[in-house]
This record gives sequence, structure tokens and C-alpha cells, in this order.
Amino acid sequence: MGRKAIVTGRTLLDDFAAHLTHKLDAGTAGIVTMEPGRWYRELIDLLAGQGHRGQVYYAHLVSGALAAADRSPEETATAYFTMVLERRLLLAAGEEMHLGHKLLRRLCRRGVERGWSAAEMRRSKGAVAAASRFAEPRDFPDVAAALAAIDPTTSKGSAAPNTIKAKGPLWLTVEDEHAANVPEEISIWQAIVASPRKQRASATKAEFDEVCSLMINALDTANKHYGFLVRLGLPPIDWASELTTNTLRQLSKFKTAVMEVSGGEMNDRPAWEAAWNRVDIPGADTLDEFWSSPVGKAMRMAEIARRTAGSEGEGETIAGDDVEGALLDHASFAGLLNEASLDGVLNTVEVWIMQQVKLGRELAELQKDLRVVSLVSERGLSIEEFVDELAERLQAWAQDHFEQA
Amino acid sequence: MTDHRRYIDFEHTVRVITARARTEVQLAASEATVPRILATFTVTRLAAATSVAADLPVGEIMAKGGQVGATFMRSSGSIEVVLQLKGFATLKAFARKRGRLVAGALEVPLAFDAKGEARCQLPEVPEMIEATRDFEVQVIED
Repeated sequence: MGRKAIVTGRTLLDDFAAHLTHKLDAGTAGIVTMEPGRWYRELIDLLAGQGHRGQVYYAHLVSGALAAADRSPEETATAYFTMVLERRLLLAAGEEMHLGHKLLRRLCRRGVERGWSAAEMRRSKGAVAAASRFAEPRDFPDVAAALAAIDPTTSKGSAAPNTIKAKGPLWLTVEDEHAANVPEEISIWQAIVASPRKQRASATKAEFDEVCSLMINALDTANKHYGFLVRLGLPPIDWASELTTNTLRQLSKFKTAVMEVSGGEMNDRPAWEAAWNRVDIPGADTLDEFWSSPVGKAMRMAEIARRTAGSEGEGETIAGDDVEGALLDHASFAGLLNEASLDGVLNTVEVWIMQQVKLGRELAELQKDLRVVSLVSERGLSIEEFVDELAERLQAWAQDHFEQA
Repeated sequence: MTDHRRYIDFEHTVRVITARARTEVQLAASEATVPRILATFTVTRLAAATSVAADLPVGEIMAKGGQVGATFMRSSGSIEVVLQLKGFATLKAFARKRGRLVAGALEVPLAFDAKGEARCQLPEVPEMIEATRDFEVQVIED
């Protein structure tokens, strides 16, 4: 089970997740007022290329260059927002909650009103709310109303109907007494919008990391479909409704196989024949059929990828190989850093830097350390680029190990 | 925890903490390039809305809350806008600060002096007169 990057600029996706988490923490005196309307406008501006690093997000996360020339950056950014942040996350078999639910639960626990810190999510077939001994958080009805406004239907391929049958619907509860039904399919953005209006900002870097960890996992899943389309050179705005994530995963494998055989050329019939014997393509019975299909042509010729989508009309299905990462505690993290150091991946100063970052020290602060100054200037990088490079080395090392494990 | 799981979680932890560290630097850079707005005063020229649609108001008009007054004067093909901070508290807070006049897409930099006065010039064209029907005076951090 590989976890290699499937989107262009996974680092940028992580940065976008951290950027969103910082927004959820931006308040005064430790209290954040959720302002989804303002944040929506700011995020669209950022994704459309405005402001600090906006151009980087537009070019490498939204992949604006893939869109047809008559699409404005705002239109393309809005499409990214809809296809990723508003993408309804689906329940996988054997799971009681997905990442959208976990994010909502985490944000509810940040609620300022009394009682929210005990917020839970569980499935129950029977009545959930018992006779009330405790007052509900004052904004609980608002959260319940926001959840009730979300489309409660489930998509084809979702495990939710079976899970509901076996374990009952999902409930957001406080003190086991106040309950609101939680829709099976909610997006990252719906989780943010439905959460309590006043929340406590992260008091520590560890708390920030907990929310950011959920956001990274959720964005990994929500961005997968868009990321596959980008990797295949298919403008997401034109192709999103045509192909499922599972089909795109196979097409991505097929593209890799073709490129390996042809040495980087996609419009190469012998390479397609070799790849056809290695990768199954859902919905295509013969190579000829696939070669001349709209998606086949679009994969071969970038100039016809725009607006030539066919109408395969497949329903969405669940991605089966998502692996949710969890945060390691300091001791376990330090142990693995030392292993990486023994393997020659990091030197002692680099191990120290990563330990300090894990403990929450900011790069601006670390940059004052003479050992760091010397190391960073030796490489000719900014501290940000240097840490990025350390992360890449560590991720490559970790991937090698878990593929062997 | 299996070995497999340890490495997955290690990789994930590296992603989370380095994304946090990078975006802290980026946000600091972003805040450094976008000056913080200390106060915004909104001026609406309702009195001139119907009768003198494309002309300038006569005399001083006040921002909502009365903390800033604005006077418009014609001066050889341009409009001179004179802004005056009103009241001791406003003067104390914003005199000698930079600011800008924001009307639609137009942003004109200005600076309040020790007496709380700021002046700026706008081209005298009907569109500009129309644009200054509703405008904001922002005081920004140095």
C-alpha cells in the first residue's frame, strides 16, 4: 500500500491545510468567531492567485494553467473550492465516522459555550438524548440546525446505508443528553460552517497540530479526485463529473505504465498496448475502445483535453486505500528521528531542528541559533526551504521503510 | 504499533509540523507586506444623492460616528480632499499615522499630521465624483 504523493505539490496541500487551521485560530484573547463568509472570499482570492503566495497556490494547487483560456482565475479557484473543500466525504466500510465527522467533532470540542468540551459522536439505533440534567451549550440548537440543513442522502457506493442498518445513525452528543443527527456525508467546509460560532483557539502548538493533522488527512482525501485529474492533464473543471476516483486511480496507474515504456511520451500506441496488459481500466473492454474514447484521446493529446469530456456518467465510489496518518508523541518521534540519523539521513543539528519544530518552536526563532545559521547558509537556502528539504528527506526515508515493513 | 504504522505516522507527523512551521513564516511575511488597518471611517454623501448628482458637497461632511470630517475643494483640474480627525481621543489615537482613502477600486495614500489633518488629490472627472459618494478613510499601522 503506497502513500507516495498522488497530487502535484503535496507540500502545498499541507501548507493549505495549515493555512486553513491558522484561520480557525485567528482571534483575539484566544477566542475565535467563525466567519465562513469572509473566509470563503479570502480563500477564493488566495486560490485565484492574489496576496502572498497566491500565485503559488493558483499555479500548483489549483493548477490554473490546465483550465481553458476563457475561464477566469476566480472561476477556476471557485471550482477548486467546490470540488475539494465542499466535496462530500463518504463513509468507508467498517468505519463509523469519516474525516469530515472527526473534524466537526474536534471543532465542536473547541466551542466556548459550557458543555462543548464533552462533545462526542456516536451511532445509536435508539433514543440518544435522555432526560436532561445539564443545560445544553447555548449555541447547540444553531449547530443542530446547520447539520439539519445538510443534504442527508447518501451516494452510490457509500457504506453508510449498511452502517446505519447495523449501528444506527450518527449523533453529535453533549453530556450524553443533547443530541443532533449528523449527516453521513459532509464536506470539510460543511464541518467548519456547522461548528459552534465561538471557539477557543489552540492554546498550544500541540493543539494546533491536532487540528492541522485532521485537516491534512481530510484534504488528502478531498483533494484526491482533483489531484488525479491534474496528474492526468485533464482540466478538473471540465472532467470532474465524468470520472470516479477509482477510475482515475486506474488511469493514473495506466499513465505511469505508458510513460515507463515510452520514456515519457503519452501518444505512443505500442506503450499503450504494454500498459493495457498491466492495468485494468474500468468501463473499457478493448484497447481500441479505450484509445479512441474521449478520455483516451484527452490523455494522449493535451490540446484536446479541454472541454472534450464524454459522458461516462459513473457514480462515485469509495477510495479503498486511504491511510489516515496520526500524530506521534515526542518520544516516538524522537526515536524515529534517531533511526533516520543512524541511517545517515540527518546530521545531529538537523535532528535537533526537527525536535525543536515538533516541540513548537518557530523557524524565526530557530534561525537565531548559530548552528542553524551556519547549516542553512552553507546550503544557500532560506530556513523555510531548508526545513522543507529536511521533511522531503525524512518522508522519503519513511516511505522506503514502510514499503519494506 | 506495527512497524508499518510507525513509519506512516512518522511521515504524517513530519508533514503536520513542517506545514505548521512553514505557514507561520508565510503568515508573518504576509502580515509584514499587508499593513494592519487600525480604524475605518465610512463617509456617505447622502445629502447630494438626488439634487446634485454629479457635483461635490458644499462644506464639511462627517463620517459615521463623527470622528472624521471631509471637505472637498476644486483646485485646477483636480479635487482636493481635506480630512480632519475630530475629538481628542481620535486625534490622540491617529494623528501622525498613515492612512488611505478607499473609494471603489481607488486607493489613495495619505498621512495625518500632528493636528489630525490629511490631504489628497483626486482627478476632477464625473466618475471620480461619483466614486467618492461612498468612501472609506482607513488608518493603517506604520
